[in-house]
Formats: sequence, C-alpha cells, structure tokens
Amino acid sequence: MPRAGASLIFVALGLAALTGCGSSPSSSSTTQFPSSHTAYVALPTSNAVAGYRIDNNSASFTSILGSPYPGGTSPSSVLVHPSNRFVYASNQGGDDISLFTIDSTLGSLLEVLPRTAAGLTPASLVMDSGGNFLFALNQVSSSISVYSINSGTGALTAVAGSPFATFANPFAFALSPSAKFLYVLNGNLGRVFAYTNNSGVLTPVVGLPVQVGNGPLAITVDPAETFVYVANSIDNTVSVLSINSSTGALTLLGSYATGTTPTSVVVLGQYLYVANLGSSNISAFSVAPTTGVLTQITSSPFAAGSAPLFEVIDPNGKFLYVGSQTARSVSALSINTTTGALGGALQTTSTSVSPSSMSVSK
Amino acid sequence: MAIERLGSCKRAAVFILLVLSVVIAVSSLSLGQVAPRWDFFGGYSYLRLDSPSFGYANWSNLNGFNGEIVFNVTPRWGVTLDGSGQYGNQLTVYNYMIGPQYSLRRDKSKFFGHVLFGKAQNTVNILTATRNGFLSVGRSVAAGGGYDWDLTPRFTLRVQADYLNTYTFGATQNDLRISTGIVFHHGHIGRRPKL
Repeated sequence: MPRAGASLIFVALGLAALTGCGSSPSSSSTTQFPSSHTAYVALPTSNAVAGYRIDNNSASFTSILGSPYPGGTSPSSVLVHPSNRFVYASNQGGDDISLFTIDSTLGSLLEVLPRTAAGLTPASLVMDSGGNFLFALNQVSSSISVYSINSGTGALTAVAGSPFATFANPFAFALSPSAKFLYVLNGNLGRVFAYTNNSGVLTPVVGLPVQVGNGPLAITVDPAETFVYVANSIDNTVSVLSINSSTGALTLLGSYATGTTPTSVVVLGQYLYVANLGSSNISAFSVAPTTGVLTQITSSPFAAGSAPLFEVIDPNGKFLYVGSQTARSVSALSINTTTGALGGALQTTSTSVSPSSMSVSK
Repeated sequence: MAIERLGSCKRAAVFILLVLSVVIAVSSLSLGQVAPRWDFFGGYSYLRLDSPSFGYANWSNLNGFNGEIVFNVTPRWGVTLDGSGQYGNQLTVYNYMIGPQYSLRRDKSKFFGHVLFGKAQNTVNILTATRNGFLSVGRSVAAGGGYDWDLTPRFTLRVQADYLNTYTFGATQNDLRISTGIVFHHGHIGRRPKL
C-alpha cells in the first residue's frame, strides 16, 4: 500500500506541474516576444475588416473568431495603432473613419460608433510612429484630414485647420518616420508635393513639387528618412528622391525599371520591394545607403501570385505579405535577410473578396 | 453497405454495441474478481485548450469540473458516461462523451483506460458588432486513463488525464484534460471471496 500511495503522490505532483505550466490567454498581451501577430485586412466589397493571427515562424494565417468584422462602407485602408489596442479604417463609400477596439486576448474587433467624419473618399491612412496623429487622404475633396488620437480611447479629434487642402485629386501619401514631413502623390500630374508637419498642422514646403514618372500610384519613405520611393505604374519604374533633412524638400535622383504596372513599394532596411500588378511579381532592389542607387537583387523579379496589389513588411522582417485582388488572398513570402531575396509563398489565405489594404500589429 | 448508410452517430452506437458484446463475452474470464457495479466520479478538472486554433495567441488554461458514471459490465470492462466543463475569462468548454473503459485492479488500487466519443460545446464570450458571443458544437473524441486509490471500501481518490480531440469553430483542437476527485462505488459484481 505505501507503494500505491507514493505512486498516487507522484502522479498528483506531475499533474500539478502540468497544470501549472503554460500561460493563460490573458497574459498574451504582455508577452515581450509574442509568438504571433495579428493582422487586419480591409475588405471593401464586404464593408468589413478581416482579422488574422499570423505565426511568427511559419507565417500561417488563422482567422480570428468572428472575422470578418462589420465596419463602414467600402473600407479601403486599415491601420493598427502602435498600442495594438485600436484599428482605424477609412471608409471610401461613407466618407468617414471607423474606430475598432481590439480584444486584447483574442484580437477580435468591435467598432466604436459613431464614426468620425472625413472628407470625400478617404482612400488612404497614415499615422505617426507614436500613434498621436492620424492622417486621411481625401481623394475627391482633395484634402488631408488630420486627427489627434486619444491614447486611452482611440477617439479621433480633428486638429485645428483640418482638413488641409491639397492640389486636385491626390492619390497616395506617406509620412516620414519622424513625422516631420508628409509627401503626397498626384497621379495626374506625376508629381510629389511635400508638407511639413507640426503637431498635425500641415504646411506646404516652399518650392515646386518634384516631377516623377507617369502614373505614380505608391510612395514610401525609408526608415532612415533619407530617400523617398515612388512606384510609377505607367512608366513601369520606381523613382528615388533624396530628402533635405531640414526642409523636407525632395530631389529626384533617378528612376529604375520594374515589372509591369507597379502598384506598391515598401522598404526593409537596405532592400526595396516593388509589387508589379501587371506582371504578377515583385521587383527587389538593394539600395546604396548614401547615393540611393538601386541594384536589382539576383533572381529578381520574384513570383508573387496573381496581380499583387499591396505589400506589407512583417514586423520581424522575416516575411513580405502580398495582397492580391484577383486571387482574393493574402500571401506570405519569406525574405532572405542576408541577400534580400524572396522565397516562394509560404502561406496563402483566402480573403473571400478582394482585399485592399493590410496592417500588422507590432 | 447498411453500415455505410448510417450517420456518424449511428456508426458510433454500432461500435459501442460491438465493444459491449466483446465485453460481455470476456466477462466469463473475470468471474474470479470483485468490482463495484457502479462508479460515480466527481471532481476538479483542468483543461489546456487549443485556443490558437480559432485565433488566440496562446493556449488557454481553464478550470472546472469533471463527472463520470461508470457501469461495470465485468470487473474489467465498463461503459463510461463522461461530462466536463471548464471555464476561463472568455471561454467556456463542455464535453459530453460515452465509451468503453478497461480497468486493471490491484488490491486497493486500479489503473484504467478509456476511449470516449461525443460532443464538445465551446463558447467564446466576446462582443462584436453583431454578436455577444460565439457558440460552436462539434465532435469530441477522448483517449486517456487514470489511477484510483481506495480510501475506504466506498470511496476512492482518482487522478485522470485525457487527450481530447475536438472540432469546433471550423477547426480542430488538440486539448489536454486533467481531473482529480473522489469516486463513489455502488453495488458489486463478481464473487466475493469466502472468508
């Protein structure tokens, strides 16, 4: 009998150890190195935002329970707040902006009503790295709405002077990492307009806007705030512009051939990736840090599925997420961090309808 | 062909009946042992839930109860009716299962193993724009066993572990359930030894 009793005690101790290990979901939000990220995808035709959990190692997508989450009319751009507590979506059809709160354990979304009014056709959103200001590009009313963000509730309040008028039909914009400068593309003119940003107040940079290629569709600023890159969809090129760090003024350095109909451009360290909608691939370049000269990476362009529309860099720099309108999916491509080369699609998840934008939590 | 046309529930029932037939046939081999006719188990239960399968970042640690009724057909073979419920901040999980159990009795202790089939009911209490929560009911299969140690002729202390495979929210979960509690015995089968 003592043997049986001892066995029971050992079993009980083992079970106690088992039950004591692991972490509860409630602790996930405080994990310093999360094993996964949440990603949110705008689905304009569903008037919803889809939520996914992406494994940091395998890049596998798991649809979050309850996804897609209903929102405003025709959301076109989506952004996760740096606190990982809020998601914003610009509703092109409703001329407003949706605020969603993120469930801290599951990652599900709940829209907070009422929505915040924007200008006509808010097509794109950008936010400063601190999550203090949100900028909305109003394509039809040709303006930029700027909002301060309540860090506690996520609520938006228009800053004094907002919306700020731009030239006619702005198409895309990008905020510099320091949030000092805002660059706005005009697709019709093929020019980039520069603004300084002072706590949400935009002031045009003195001087003429810089001419880039024809049909510019996408723009981004490198993390060092040295260069601006513009994808020119008609010319099939990407333009490189240098930034005057004190004034924000731009100087065109050169343009480089891409695939057909480039629609997106993103930067990861010294590498530049351009999504080519027409040729269904990604052109990858290495960037000379001082001159901005682009050199196409060996084996570039890389296959990227059908008609890639947008790209998002994984927060850990391991994957490039590519959204496809025709395939109605988002794919994760592996990035060789040594060479910058892209691997094949590791994972692909169907979004059921065409996605237009994606944002990944930090 | 007839069996192929049956639904999954009916197929499970046929399987259980087959198992019971084997149990009864084997019972003649166990006449020398004494065992309770009924075992009633109740106690604490812990569930490590595969919540990443439906979007959570981490596995969930839930606490609750586990109850079982075992009808011992022979001293070694019985039928287990199992019900458990575990609860967390947002999650509630219930499992209702039935299946055969094999017991190996040694003096005042017993090892047992079982395979159970039934349903899992998972609830996630989160608020979205259109719903106050999500409920999903799907199949549940468990395989596991445990150890009983007699405290008195009527009462036994039990520790038990089960692997649960469930399908809810359109995904498969691989869970671990650990339970401990008291077993109450009622009735007996087999011949009592002559004193």
